[in-house]
Amino acid sequence: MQERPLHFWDEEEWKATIAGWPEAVRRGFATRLRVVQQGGQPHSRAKPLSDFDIPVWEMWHRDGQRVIYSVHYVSVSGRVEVLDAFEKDSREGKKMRKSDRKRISARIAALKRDMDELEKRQRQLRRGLH
Amino acid sequence: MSIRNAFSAFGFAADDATIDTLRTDLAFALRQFIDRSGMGQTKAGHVFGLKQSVVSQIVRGDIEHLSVERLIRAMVRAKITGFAEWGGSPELARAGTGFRTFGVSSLSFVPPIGEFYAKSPPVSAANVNKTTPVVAGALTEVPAGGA
Repeated sequence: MQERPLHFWDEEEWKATIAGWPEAVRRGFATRLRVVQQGGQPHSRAKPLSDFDIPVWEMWHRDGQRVIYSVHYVSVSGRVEVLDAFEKDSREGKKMRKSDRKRISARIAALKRDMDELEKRQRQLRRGLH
Repeated sequence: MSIRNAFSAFGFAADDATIDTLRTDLAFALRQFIDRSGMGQTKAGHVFGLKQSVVSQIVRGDIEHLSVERLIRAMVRAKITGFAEWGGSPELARAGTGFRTFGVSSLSFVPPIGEFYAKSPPVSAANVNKTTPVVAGALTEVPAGGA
């Protein structure tokens, strides 16, 4: 089975975000993201979020006493879109910060626009073929 | 922009990413086998020759400490047919159950098409009626190790 490609909101920003993360954390996330690429779902330390228009998944990794790393993604049209990655202090609680929620919502809106544009182009192409 | 391999995306070097990819794919194949067979973890442990706790780790995806060799051993003990392959980049690494179909990466063993033509006799009116097809003749001229 061909694995689904990973897309990022901004590759440079993504690289800069994860550059400082410990190796064990990066390996843990990559292992679970590979399973997602193959059409599976991570069985641990991941959950779907219901606060958004489309089913966004959150994966997290607790490292040390207080730091929680998290990666958010959606599976759409045969690809995996990584929407956000950040670290936070566990003392802030389980609830997502407003700023994080806003940022992810904006990226979902941009993704929807891209998908609509793609669908429009494909429809035009199909019309041209017939 | 897209990246095919999750381990490359997380900044791992090509060799580490390849091994980690194979490990993850093999563990995922074992997990799917357990799910589909409906076996409990203890039973699966007997079949794979692993402790129940290790089977639990495979199911949960906590596989960083498991070696590729150990996972292949488990598959062989359970008589699961599988494959593992890799190439010059982590994007080409994959493993799974069943037989690998003849795919894109297998074509890399065939010399590039340009070499066939370079070694083929020129097509002209004089040799166009010869019985040996041009491509088949070219294939026999390519040495076993490539050009």
